[in-house]
Parts: sequence; C-alpha cells; structure tokens
Amino acid sequence: MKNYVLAVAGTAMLTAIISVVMPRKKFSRTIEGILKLCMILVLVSPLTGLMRQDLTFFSSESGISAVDTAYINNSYALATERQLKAQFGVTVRAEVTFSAEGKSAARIYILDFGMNDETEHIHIVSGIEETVKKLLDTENVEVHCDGSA
Amino acid sequence: MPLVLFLAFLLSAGALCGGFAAGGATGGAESTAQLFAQTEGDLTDEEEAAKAELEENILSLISQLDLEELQAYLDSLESFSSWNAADKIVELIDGGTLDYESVFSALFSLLTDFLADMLPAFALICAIALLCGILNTVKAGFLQDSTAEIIFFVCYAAVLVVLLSQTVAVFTLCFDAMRSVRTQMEIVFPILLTLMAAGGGTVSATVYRPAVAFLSGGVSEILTGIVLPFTVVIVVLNMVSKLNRNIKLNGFVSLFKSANKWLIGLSVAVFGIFLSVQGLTSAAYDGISLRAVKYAISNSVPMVGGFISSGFDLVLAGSTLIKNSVGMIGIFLLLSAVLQPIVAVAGFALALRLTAAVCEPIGDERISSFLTGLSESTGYLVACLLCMSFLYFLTVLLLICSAGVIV
Repeated sequence: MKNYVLAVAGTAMLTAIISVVMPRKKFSRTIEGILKLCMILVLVSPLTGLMRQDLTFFSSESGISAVDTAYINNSYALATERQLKAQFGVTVRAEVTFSAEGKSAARIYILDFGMNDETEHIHIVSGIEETVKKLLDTENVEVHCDGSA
Repeated sequence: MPLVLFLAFLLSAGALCGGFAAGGATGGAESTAQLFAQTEGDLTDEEEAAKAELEENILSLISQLDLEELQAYLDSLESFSSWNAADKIVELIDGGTLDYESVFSALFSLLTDFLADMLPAFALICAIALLCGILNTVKAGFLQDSTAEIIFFVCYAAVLVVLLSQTVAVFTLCFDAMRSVRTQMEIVFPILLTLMAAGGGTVSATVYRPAVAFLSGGVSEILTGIVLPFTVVIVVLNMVSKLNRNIKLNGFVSLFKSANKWLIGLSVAVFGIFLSVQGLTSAAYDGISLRAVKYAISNSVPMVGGFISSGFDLVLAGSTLIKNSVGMIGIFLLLSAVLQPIVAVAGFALALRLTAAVCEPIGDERISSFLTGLSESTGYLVACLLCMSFLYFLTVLLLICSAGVIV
C-alpha cells in the first residue's frame, strides 16, 4: 500500500511539474495525454495483484477464543464438592474434565462421610453418582470411597 | 452513514433491553450481587453464611484465573500501571466503581490542548492561502498564467508541508488505537468466555467463540487492513488531484469512499444482528438446561420442603460475578483507548473546516477544497474507531447480560 501511494503521488507530482514548466507548443497536448495515460496505469496497477492475494479474515481458534480449560475444570470441581457437601454432608475431592458436548468425566474421592452411619454409605455413594451425573450431564462418573486413586 | 449509525443504535438498544429484561426475570447473579452490597446489619444468619461462602468462592476462583496477560497489558499502559487486575475485580464485586470522571475531564483538557497546539499551524495555512489569493488577484496585471500556476504550486506545497505533520500524527494515533483495541479483545475475550463456560453458559460460550474470533480476526482485519489504508489513499488522491487542473481523480476518490462506506456498514450490520440474535437465544437455552438440572436434583432428593442448598449455584454465581467485573474493566479500558483519538480527530476536522471556511473567500478555491476534502476523509477514521469499539462493546455487553438468563 505504501509503495502504491508513493507511486501515485510521484506520478501526479511529475505530471504537475511537467505541465507547469512545459512550453505551450503543438506537442504539449500529446505529452499531457501520455502523462494522463501513465497516471491511469499507475492507479489501476494494484487490481492485477488483488486477485492473486489471499486475504485471511478468520484467525485460528486457538488464538483469540482459546478458553482456560483448567479453570473451567477446577470451577466445576469446586462447585461439585460444595454441592455434595451441602446435599449429603460428605467431604469429597472432585476431579472434573468438563466438556460442552456432554462428554464430561468426573472422579469423586470421598474423604469423610461425616455424620453418616456405615449402613448409609452405599446409598450415599449411589446418590453422589446420580447427582454428579445430572449436574455434569454425563454418564462417565467414578466414585471412590477410600479417598485415593 | 447516518442510516448505519441509526441501525447500530437500534441494535444496541435491543440488546440492552433484552439483556436487562432477561436479567430482571430471574435475578440470579443480580440477587447475589445485591446480597454482597447489603450492609451486615440487614442480613439474616443464613444470608451471612451464604455471603461468606460466596466471598470465599470468589477469592478461590480469582486465584485460579489466568490474569497474567491482562496484568501485563495494564502494566504497559501509563495510566493503569498501578492497577492490580485481581484486586480491581474484587473491588468491583464489592461494590466499587471505576473512575469515569477522571477520563472525561482528561478528555476535555486534551481537546483544548490539541486545539491550542494546532492553532499556529492553521494560522500559517491561512496566511499562505491569503498570499496566494492576493497574487492570483493581481496576476491579470503583470503575471502569465504559467507563472501563476507555479506560484500556486509553491503555496500549495507549503500548505502540504505544514499540514502533513499534523495529518500523520492523527493517523498514527488512530492506527495505534485500533491496534490497542484489538490487543484488548485478544486478552479480554478468552477470560470472559472461560468465565461464561465456568458459570454454566456452555452453549453460549460455544456460540460466542466463532463470533469473537470473527470480530477480532475478520472485522478488525477489514477495518485495519482495508478501510484505513483506503482512507490514506483517499487523502493522498485528494492531495495530488489539486496539484494541477489537468489531474482529475475525483472518480477514484468516490470509488474508495463508496467502498469504505459499504465495508463499514456491512461489518456493523451483519455482525451486530448475528451476535444479538444468537447470543440471547443461546443464553436462554443454558438457563433452561440449568434449571432442568436443578429441578431434577431437587425432586430426586427426599428432604423436607423439597429445597436443597445451592452450593453448586454459588460457585457458578461467583464465576458470573467475576465475569461481569472483567467485562466492566474491559469496557473502561476500551473507552480510555478510543476516546482520546476520537477527540483528537474531531478537533483536527473542526480546525480544518474552520480554516477552509476562512480561506475560501480570499484564497485559491483548490486550497479550501483540499482542506474540506481532508476533513471529510478524517470522518472515516472516526467511523472505523466507532465501528470497532461499538462491536467490541456490544459483544462484551452481551457476554455480561447473558448471566441474568443463566443463573
């Protein structure tokens, strides 16, 4: 673009200077006509190159719109832990791999069953599994009772 | 151009109405924000506990959020080098406000300073035009036409020399502002999309991702790569066409002007309409999905009263509040980036018009015509800035307002 602008400006300056200093003879009109033709050629010269150019209008997805997946996973893990704490009274550690297309995965490690009796543990585990499946809209849920992998 | 601006105004009004109406209907995140703003004496014990849990959630979420790029950008700006991004977000959630008054007072002083700096240059231009006019008036007595042309050529070149430095400075300011706005988009949008997805708006985030990519990549490329260079070409063609009466370039100038108008208008119309419709409908889908989940859970748990505590909701609401604060910071940074060049261009155009009006009765009509054409060309700079700013502002506004529908 810079070269194009300089070429146009230079041609126009040259045309103006020549028109001013040229004596008014029979050939002056011919010279003016040639100068105008040169001006037209300079003005339309980028059009031939424009067809060959590849203008990119879309940046790659990984650039501008890359979301922080680690934050999203940690956020849903925290939300799941708080929900299970409030709903069942158990302390858990959650590891969530969240996906918008319904392919999320969750691992729940129960650290402390709280005030619940041992006889209720199995119901709590199944309840946790069902709740997490509904919260994250996924079937891929693992619940571990011993608090470790 | 007025039609485009009117259409843009209608779109923004519709988006605002839709966002606030949706937010008022549910009042999810807004009620939690009100909970935050209430004094401690007005809250019950349960509300106190919920507020404390929400504060704890928010601080935990902010500590996990990647704000490095945003902080680096703030550090690069002289006016915001003392800001800490995380602290500012917490301050806004707690009810703090951004200092808009200082921005507007700085703008007013900028305008007066800018006009004062340009005054000597434009006074010189008026003097040159006056001299040229006087010589043209007396030329019939003793000057040939060719000599008069040379005198005009010299006077016109002197005007160009005086004006070019100001013109280049104004153009550079606008180019830098466009680059700054694009940088802000590349920093703020990933954070907002992350927080939107973390706040339950997964479908909305999926819808907005290509839209913001098109805004940052497509629209900004069109404006910075095509419209602004075309504006430079318009200025140059306008400049050289006045050198000699034999050089006629008005058709080319009109061609580039027409191309600019179409590109700006289409960018605003197409992107604005698409974003407004898609954004609000996707947010409604997220809200319905989340309420369906809560209904299913509450009905599957046998508790007295059928109500379960909303630990899940509080964490989602925390992300939503953080998102709104980041959006407000983004809008504030946008205003600080674009208002200064807009004021500078407006002052420059005003000075050009004034000078053209003064030169017209006394000087050569080509000089006043050039000054008038240059002031019209600077309108495209303002249009580019306003277009990009409006679309960025509209996108951030929709990202913020979507929260009321979801939570």
